[in-house]
Amino acid sequence: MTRLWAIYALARADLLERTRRYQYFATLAVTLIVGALLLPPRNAAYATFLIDGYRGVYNSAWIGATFAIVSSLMLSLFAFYNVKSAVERDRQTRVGEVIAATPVARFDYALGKALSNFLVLASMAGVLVVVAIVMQLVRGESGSFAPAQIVLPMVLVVLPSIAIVAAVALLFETIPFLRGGIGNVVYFFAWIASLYWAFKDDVLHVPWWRDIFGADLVLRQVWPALKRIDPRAKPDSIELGTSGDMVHHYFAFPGFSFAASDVVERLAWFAVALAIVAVAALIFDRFSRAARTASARPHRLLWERPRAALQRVTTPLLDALFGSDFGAIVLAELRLLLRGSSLWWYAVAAGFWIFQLFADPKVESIAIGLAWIWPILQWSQLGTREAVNATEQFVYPTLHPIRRQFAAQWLAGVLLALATAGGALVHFAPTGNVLGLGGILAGAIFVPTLALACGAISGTTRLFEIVYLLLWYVGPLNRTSFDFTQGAYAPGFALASLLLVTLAIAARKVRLQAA
Amino acid sequence: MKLEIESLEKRYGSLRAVADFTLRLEPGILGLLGPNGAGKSTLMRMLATVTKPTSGTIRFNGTDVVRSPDDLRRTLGYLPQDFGIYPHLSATEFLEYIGALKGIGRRTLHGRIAMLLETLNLSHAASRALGGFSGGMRQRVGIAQALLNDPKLLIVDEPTAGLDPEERLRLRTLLRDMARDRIIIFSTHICSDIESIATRIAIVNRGKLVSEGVPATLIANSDGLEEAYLRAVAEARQAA
Repeated sequence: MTRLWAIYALARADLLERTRRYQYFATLAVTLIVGALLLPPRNAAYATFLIDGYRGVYNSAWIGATFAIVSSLMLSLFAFYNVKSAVERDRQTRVGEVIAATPVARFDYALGKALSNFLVLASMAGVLVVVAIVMQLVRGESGSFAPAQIVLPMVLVVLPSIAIVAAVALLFETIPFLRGGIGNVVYFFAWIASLYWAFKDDVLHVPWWRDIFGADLVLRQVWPALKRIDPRAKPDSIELGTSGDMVHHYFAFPGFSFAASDVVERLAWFAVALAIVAVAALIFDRFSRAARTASARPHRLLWERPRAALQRVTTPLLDALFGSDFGAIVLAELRLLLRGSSLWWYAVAAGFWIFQLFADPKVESIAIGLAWIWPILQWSQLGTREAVNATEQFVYPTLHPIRRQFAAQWLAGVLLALATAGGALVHFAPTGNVLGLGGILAGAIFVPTLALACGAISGTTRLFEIVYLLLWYVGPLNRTSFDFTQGAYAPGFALASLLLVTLAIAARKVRLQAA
Repeated sequence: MKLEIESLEKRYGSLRAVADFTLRLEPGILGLLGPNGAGKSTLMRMLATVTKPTSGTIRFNGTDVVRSPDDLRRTLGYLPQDFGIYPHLSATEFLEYIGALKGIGRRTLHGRIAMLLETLNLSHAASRALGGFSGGMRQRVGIAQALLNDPKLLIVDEPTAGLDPEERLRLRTLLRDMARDRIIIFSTHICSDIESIATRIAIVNRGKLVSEGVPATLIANSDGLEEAYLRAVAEARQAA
């Protein structure tokens, strides 16, 4: 009984602490807006869920199917970053040290935190259910109103998925090297891999242990209704979030009828989540490493020696451009940006540099993309370092904190982008490839500006890490119009940089006033 | 009731934060004095079962605390030096949370919280968010959480930090009253905090116990505790 009381108290306190922050309400507001966008009108330029060009009429059952699949996928990615802070909060606030001195068991602590993660995610799913019900009335495509057909798939599909996310977020927090930015990047790629794993083949026959998102469970319910209308339709031709006129036909999905085995299969994911929590509890250090995390040995930068020479050259130039002492501040910011980067980080960056130098023009964009995903953890510090390291009280009262320190921080990020894309610059310059050079320049300005804006707005490194990873995935890696390394899209990214820098300055001004 | 510390050592790589530390304690207040970085907080963290020693033993009433930490944790009160709070919880909610983790039943806990908030002059702010508390108020919440389970061993690391003179006096009186039937370890580098209430004083420097005894003996040949402390530290530095 005492253990249950402790687990309840842990989950409750953590939940209250999270849900009383304005960020929580901002997240719910974003969830609400995204939810409303999941049901576009018939004349919209995009569709959210199609099977071989078919979209269901917006009755409760189809809305339930759409919301269940899309919410499960969305929450499993974005919400991970939202909840991956339960243990970190105890570390940062140092409440962890008090907890460590109590008799609470590791598993009870882990379970309480995972429960809190789950409840936060469930509240987002709850908002989506409400939006789904309201949107059916707003769209008014069908008079068939059965809220249970919306709630049931959301419960069976989404809740088990978010239970896994809640547990994995906790696991990442207990593994030291996955605790920070590296963990955020690893999770992104793990999520992409799990998508391939879940959808790779045998649609309608995916075993439960691969159907982590519950998508196949929904498809198995929808498919018979579609097959009756069009026997030639392909069940594996699924479109999730497409643009353009992709809807060719409409059909009425009569509704869900889950078997007991479906329920058991989905419930099994809760057992998996519990097992992950148990593993996290085993790894959890009980805050014993809280006091000393930094190495006792002072870290030396690889370029410590040539720094003086570099300083002699760059400082007068930067000073002439931006005013007295500015060059020194930029170099100091650059040092801070690279502090902690190990020798192997420089070695890999050099490898990407050489790859750009000799890359075929067809893969040059990917070569730059690879070079620019590598410093993600360095860029994610921009705009956040003061909040993360609690140095706001020292930094903000300095002379012209925006015009000098904030600008220097941004410029350090740009210099890092240019340096890491140096191979491509050397490659393009002799051939007079203006478009290529323009692309690199626009990208080198855009990426650190995005980092600065995300950091200044959120005060954490996570917002940039997730936004940039997504952009990097759909842009340079898939060569869409979001490719910020391409000269063809440079004007758009230059404009975006301008908007982002305005946002960053506004956000920093708010923090300056609040400090 | 006794706490026995035997040949305790804590290493961080090549750094010996605590070295060959031996001490036996019975009910009363031990004032732990030492300069910044002397290893006081590391010693406190080991005694509070937060971190494990590299070698040596800690026994509380005969039980090996390193091997069976939960026995001590049930009866331990600990206020770390950098005590943190959840800024969006009220004082009552926060204390309920810590109390539950300490294994205190709900009914007992509510009465205990009300009593401690009253004792520490926080009743008026019981339902206010902790984020809006002053440094002194937060420190008093920290003291309250340490006392929630009526601990037999109370470890307080710099508990007077942020308290005004009136609050310091109130805390000293509270600890003196409590010390009759429990062991209190009071770490500080402010001599006046412990001069009047400590039953024994231990002086630590560079992780080692350099002097230990009852206050009267320690200050016998000095002009007060501060001078005795400075001399002990200087002698230890010379010897090193």
